[in-house]
Amino acid sequence: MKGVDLGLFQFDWDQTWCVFYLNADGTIYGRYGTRAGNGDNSTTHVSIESLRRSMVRALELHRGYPANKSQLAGKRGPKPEYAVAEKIPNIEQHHCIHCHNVREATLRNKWLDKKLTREDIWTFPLPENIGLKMDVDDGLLVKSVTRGSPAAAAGIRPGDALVSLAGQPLISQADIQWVLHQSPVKTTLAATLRRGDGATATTLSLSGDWKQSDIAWRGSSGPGLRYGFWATPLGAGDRASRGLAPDSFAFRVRNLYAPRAGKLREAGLREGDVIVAVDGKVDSMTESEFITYLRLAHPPGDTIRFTVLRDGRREEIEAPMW
Amino acid sequence: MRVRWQLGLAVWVLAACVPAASAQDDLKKNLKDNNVAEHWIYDDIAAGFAEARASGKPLLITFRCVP
Repeated sequence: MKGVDLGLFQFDWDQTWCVFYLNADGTIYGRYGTRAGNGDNSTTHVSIESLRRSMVRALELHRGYPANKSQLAGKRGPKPEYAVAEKIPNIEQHHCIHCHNVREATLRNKWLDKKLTREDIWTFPLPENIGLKMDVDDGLLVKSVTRGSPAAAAGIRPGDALVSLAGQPLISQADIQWVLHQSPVKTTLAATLRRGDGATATTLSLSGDWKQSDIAWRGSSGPGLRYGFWATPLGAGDRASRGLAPDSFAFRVRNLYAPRAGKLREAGLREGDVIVAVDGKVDSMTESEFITYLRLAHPPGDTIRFTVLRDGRREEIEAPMW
Repeated sequence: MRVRWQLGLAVWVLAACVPAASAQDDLKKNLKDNNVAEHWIYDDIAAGFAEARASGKPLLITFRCVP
């Protein structure tokens, strides 16, 4: 990302590949590329066919330009704090600045400045976050709608095709994500749909925790939130063998990378420890919830308390935030 | 066939992270990008914009992670 204009090119930084379609004047027609996880989950939302369709839609927008210019204005993000990645404090720079380096440095700096919020952490929500499962080969065709979701409440049905959201013409699932990413937690979004041969309009009402999603897979969550502390949920068999309830808090410490997590090692935490409570909390958390809790509940200079199982004994470890 | 038709309608830019010419060569070598198709402008976003302005075509820019 060295030298790349961050005012223009804003996207989900944890992808391995993405596409921008633009006019020569910098107007963005749309984005392509959606990632929901690692391994098999890394390609669940992309296909060659949906890429092709995004190209066709981008060309249609180009043909309609500049008459449609005002509708496309929202596809450009707000002015970033730093114009280029190499200006971001604490960003990792080797032979390359990776896309995810941008997000992880931003998260880390916000935490260091005591400005990190939940909204910073939940990024680029999937269409599923509002109840929409899209056809992977089309990107904009609704495959199913989750009962009780905002999409269901808005009257969106399987077979509908999303045409625009918040006034922005859409070309891909990434464009849906872009609108959701830019939206406040409590908001309403105008949507236009193609239904059969006709068009219809509706409004999505969003509030609550709809932006929350799995961030454990994200590369940026490593340096951005874990910062050298790598713990993963304990499997069912390992829980049972230790007499832990299936729904209890239980994370195995996999790695304590130095120097980042050196303070944890100095405090007595070890690889192989099983953390069964954090700050006395024993209720189950997902990996995403755990790494989010670490940073939102504890600012720099604070201490955190782990209860660990080691060699069959419980130990209390109080560690400085790292 | 449809994709082949679209190739002529857009300016294609393959972007990674290192803009200098010599670094481009290293990047290509390291990634074994020895047979990049002619319609791609390799790792030079400014050149892509210049060609889009001259041709009136839209830009397709890809960003990919360099391991």
